[in-house]
Amino acid sequence: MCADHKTIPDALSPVIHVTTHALQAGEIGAVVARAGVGKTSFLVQVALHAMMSGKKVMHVNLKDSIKKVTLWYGEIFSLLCKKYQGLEEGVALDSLLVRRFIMTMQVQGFSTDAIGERLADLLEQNIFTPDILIIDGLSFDASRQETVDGLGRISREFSLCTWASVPAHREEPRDDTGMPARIGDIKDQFALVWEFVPEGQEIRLKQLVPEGEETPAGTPALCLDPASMLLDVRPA
Amino acid sequence: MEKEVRKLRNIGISAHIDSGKTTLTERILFFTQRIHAIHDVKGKDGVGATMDSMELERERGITIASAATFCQWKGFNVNIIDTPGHVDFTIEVERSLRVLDGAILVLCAVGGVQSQSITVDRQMKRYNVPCVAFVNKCDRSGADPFRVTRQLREKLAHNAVMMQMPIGLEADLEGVVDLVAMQALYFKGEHGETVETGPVPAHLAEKAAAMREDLVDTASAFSDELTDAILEGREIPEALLVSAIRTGTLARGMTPVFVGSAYKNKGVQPLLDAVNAYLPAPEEVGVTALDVENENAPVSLESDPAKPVVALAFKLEDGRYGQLTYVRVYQGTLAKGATVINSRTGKKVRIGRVVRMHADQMEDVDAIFAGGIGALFGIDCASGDTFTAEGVRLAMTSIFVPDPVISLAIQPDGTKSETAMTKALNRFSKEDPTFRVYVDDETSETIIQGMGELHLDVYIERMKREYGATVTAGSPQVAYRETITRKVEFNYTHKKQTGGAGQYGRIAGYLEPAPGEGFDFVNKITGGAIPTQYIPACEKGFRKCIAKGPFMEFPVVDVRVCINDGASHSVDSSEMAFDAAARGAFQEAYRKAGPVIHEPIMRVSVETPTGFQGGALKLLNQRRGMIVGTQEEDINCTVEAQVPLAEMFGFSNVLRSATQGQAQFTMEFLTYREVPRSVAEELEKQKTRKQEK
Repeated sequence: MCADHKTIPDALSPVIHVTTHALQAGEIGAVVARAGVGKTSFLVQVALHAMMSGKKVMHVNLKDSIKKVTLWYGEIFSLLCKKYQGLEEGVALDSLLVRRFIMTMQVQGFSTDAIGERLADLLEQNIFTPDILIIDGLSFDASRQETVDGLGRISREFSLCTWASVPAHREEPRDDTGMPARIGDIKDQFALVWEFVPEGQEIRLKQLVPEGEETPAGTPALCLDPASMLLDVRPA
Repeated sequence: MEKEVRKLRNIGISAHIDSGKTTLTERILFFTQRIHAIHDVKGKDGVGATMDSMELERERGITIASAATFCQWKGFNVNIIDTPGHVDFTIEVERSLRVLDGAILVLCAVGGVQSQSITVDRQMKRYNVPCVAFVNKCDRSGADPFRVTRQLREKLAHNAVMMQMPIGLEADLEGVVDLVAMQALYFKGEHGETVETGPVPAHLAEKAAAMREDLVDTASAFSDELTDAILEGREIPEALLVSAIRTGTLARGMTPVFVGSAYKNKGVQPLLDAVNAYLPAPEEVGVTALDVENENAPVSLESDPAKPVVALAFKLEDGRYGQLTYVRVYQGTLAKGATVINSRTGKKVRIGRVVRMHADQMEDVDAIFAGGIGALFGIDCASGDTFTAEGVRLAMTSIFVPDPVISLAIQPDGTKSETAMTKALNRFSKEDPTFRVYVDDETSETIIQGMGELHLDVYIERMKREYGATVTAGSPQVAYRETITRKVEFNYTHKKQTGGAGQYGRIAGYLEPAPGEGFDFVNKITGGAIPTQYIPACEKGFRKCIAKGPFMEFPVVDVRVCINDGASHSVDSSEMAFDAAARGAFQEAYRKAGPVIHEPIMRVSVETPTGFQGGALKLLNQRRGMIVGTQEEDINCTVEAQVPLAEMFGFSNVLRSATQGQAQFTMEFLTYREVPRSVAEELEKQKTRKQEK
């Protein structure tokens, strides 16, 4: 599975280890942040990390065109190459792209049933068999229960680790655990909820689910570099 | 020709195939009284639209070569270039955009923003061409200009804003509401030639007011005065709004959207008003030339007829009147009888007849002034040449020309055809830089190269129709390339004693991959190990090898050859000996350097109703395609993929039959990539079979 690990720079390996081991197949993880704080950047990194580890990613985007999503990948990959010496020599973006399938659709056209149908079709025709499902741009408002139920269903049916972005607002009410109101009632459906919170000069990763643990068990704490929006191991 | 540059517009009409741009151009010419009867693209009257002047174009219902035409509207001179819609002919589109100042982007109210519109839009961005959009075919069933405007924003990232709203849609299309003047426009008379104004229909008043507010809001970003007027709640003068929209459009900050139906003669006159009002005059577009005598330093040109002339030959045509050279004058005046310099050849050129073109008719004029487009007779030049006044050595920026990706062997049927074919090929390769011709040394076959199957098909057809040359075409061949994957050292001695003077040369150094460098020759010889006079012979020897690679006989690219040692003999060394030594060294080292084959990969975009998405994916997947993604919108879906060109032959027929004719696709060259092992083996087998024959 980790076919490319020998070519990944040592400094990047711990970060990749955290993102690729955070979820088990069939589970859903959510990344919560305010607009502009790095949800899409995080999801693209999760995808790139998985692709570097030999896994296949289906990236569903409800806001942007294929071209824009492609640009995100190109941009994040070139930032990674700048930050981690040796990455560019060891891994070619072109060779990773066969492990990615982008699906863009309008918010009003989105349904988990439609995603399920497309996945079944791709599998049946042996075109693409993803390990990771990324959903970016869902608003988690009126039909959130139905949506998260559907995501759970397809994650289990197709053995996917599913990551979804959840927008948060500054004024949004929170429950006792700090969970934004919009996903408070469906939080049990998530195996993992991470929030990115700007604090001083850094963007800290705060774990909301599972509760009671500051960071994922047994892994180093992560943060986002506010300049590049790249994930990094937080200095102790 | 009018000297007033301010009232001159050079515009292109760009769009997806079949969105009706030729019909629109035809109507524009009718309303500007350049023609007196209307013909349709595939007219039953057998005449065909005026802009589709080639017989072949009329038959296929597509526009192949750009035809420049001139017309006048409300005191403004307008040059229109009708551009081809198929992606195989994009060199034509690129050349048009290079010489144009603005464009009308025609979109189909039913089909919306399609893949070709995306390609054309990318080209417009490259040349920074401001545009207005025209949502055509609003009379068709399923027309929705609001959706198309939304797609302009979402798919093409234009700040698109509707300038008009339709009064009725589909069969009920009656006219449009002008959101700037807030009045209704109706098109009366047999051909809609009389524009009648009226109040905004009551049932549309509320929506029209809201849309006007959107328009004012968008335009306010480009005018402080307009923002102030909004904040102070003042009445907004029409002229102020027009001026803000113009500023936004010229900066490509907003795209005004007009609606109508060219076929039903609705909405064309307001579009012409918009060309005058919102698209730039030549003087408003910054144009730079390159100073040939000063290391190609950029020089700004001014649209001043009194300055020394600078003009670009952007298209050659061999018509019934002899050779025609289309030119755009950027600065000064190109007058009949004047002498100019072709800055590429340095030769003097005397201007004979100067004409203004109207599709395939023309009128003589005395001069073309700065900003103008016209044509010259009897000038010997190539497409892309710059003409300047004596004493000025400027060249217009060269137009981006992609390398051809496909080739075809052609054989004339008989001697008569052979002469005609030679004449035709000579003309076509001069007219179109992406169309190339050469004779294969080994097989003596004539090979034509181009940008796609249709591109070459059209030229074969034209040879037959225009020159009477019938040819037999072989199957299309992909332009493969070879390169190496690792660094290898060489040390080769060429030694021959054949009686007379011997041959001796030793050459040492290394070969290494040099991505993106083409061929790079580096001389690191020190101490005269190889005498300086033999170094060019070494380079020549290596260059001979890269034309036909030792591995598969494809051209070798992205290789660096460095020589760092060698030996010579005072009597037996010669240029010939070092040329041979270089070839020997290359042959020896190349095979050890892990040679691989690269093939052209195309960016393919298939548009299909969602129901056929699975089928389209399957077809692309079977063709070694890498699916980049799918984009779903309403009932349609676009599949983006990267597919080897070798697998795309005949794709249009297969796609058509798999989707009941409802899907269409475009493709353009993306990059070269290494072929998979299985394909390389197959190519090697083919080569062996060919050699055995």
